[in-house]
Amino acid sequence: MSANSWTIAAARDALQKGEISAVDLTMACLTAMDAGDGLNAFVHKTPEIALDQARAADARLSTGEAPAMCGIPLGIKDLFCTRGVPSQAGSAILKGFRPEYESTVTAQLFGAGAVMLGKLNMDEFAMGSSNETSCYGNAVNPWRREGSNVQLTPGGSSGGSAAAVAADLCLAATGTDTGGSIRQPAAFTGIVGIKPTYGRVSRWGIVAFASSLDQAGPMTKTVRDAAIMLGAMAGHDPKDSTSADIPVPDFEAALTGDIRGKVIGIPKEYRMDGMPAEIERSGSRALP
Amino acid sequence: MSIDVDTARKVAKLARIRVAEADLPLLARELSGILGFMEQLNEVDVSGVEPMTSVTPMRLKRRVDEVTDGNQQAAVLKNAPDAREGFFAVPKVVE
Repeated sequence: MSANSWTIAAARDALQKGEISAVDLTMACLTAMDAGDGLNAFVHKTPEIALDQARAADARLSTGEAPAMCGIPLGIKDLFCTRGVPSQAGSAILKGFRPEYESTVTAQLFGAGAVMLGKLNMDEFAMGSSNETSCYGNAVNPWRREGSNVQLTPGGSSGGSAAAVAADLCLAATGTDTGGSIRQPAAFTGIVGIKPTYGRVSRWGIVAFASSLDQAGPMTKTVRDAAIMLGAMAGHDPKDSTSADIPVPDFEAALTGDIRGKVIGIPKEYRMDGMPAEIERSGSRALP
Repeated sequence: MSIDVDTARKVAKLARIRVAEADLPLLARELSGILGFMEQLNEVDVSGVEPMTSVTPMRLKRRVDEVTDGNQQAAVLKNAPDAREGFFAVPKVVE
């Protein structure tokens, strides 16, 4: 199995045991990224930054004291400001804009040793649910209907993130969610996405849509990966007065598999009139 | 409350958006529709419901009133399409 299709957890373990280098893992993803151009997921590629970060990650890994995200290649949604790298929020209005600063989320991820492969497609200013309103053109879902080759939407607004993770172009991606922009594309592409509780993750350096609702979150291949990546993204930030000043728990350690005694609420509005029967079946299968 | 064609024309002028005369009735209807959606909120019975400003029980942070950053003129103007003498240069908009 090619390294670009690994989970964060598997890559972390292999990197820390020295079974693969961050540079080799990054190269595998850069190759997959180029081969995946047809999905129009990556809209600004940063291979030089990626390889620099990967070399730094290898140096850090060799000391034996690297955090979980060290050497993990990620895609970054175009909504995040990344220093010196185009950050257009999917809009032609911001064409040519290269921020002089780094968003708190990407600064924390890169501080933990994560590698940026490039920026990911999205609905313009995150206003959309199909990734069809982007100045870069549509992002494409890697999945197809059985017996059909018609291109399907990956959802949105984090459509490029969802397509890239589902197609193994990167190990994971950042997304943002105001009214479903992580959860809906994650569902459309069969990956995992979580919108954290408001305040858990700093919004500083992320182009705002609705400031009292926006949250950034991880988009990953497994729940464990989402726990690992969210741990690196979360935390109080003095630059976002609405970020919660409470400790970040070890989300991965909470994955005991035991949910006895928990009360889980499912809003009844999630079941809509005219919902296709197969989605209805699939949804109710997840409920006890 | 509804928006008539004259109000729509005025709003478009204030927003500096050119709208053809023939498109004004549709624009007025759509703007009225938005106000209609907002009026639906009045139908919700909120008696006895505490006003909520945040999902997390926390006071808004206040920082000490002191300079935390500065001397960033070059970085601030780096992305300006046109900068002159340390300022953003923009087309004249106020008549």
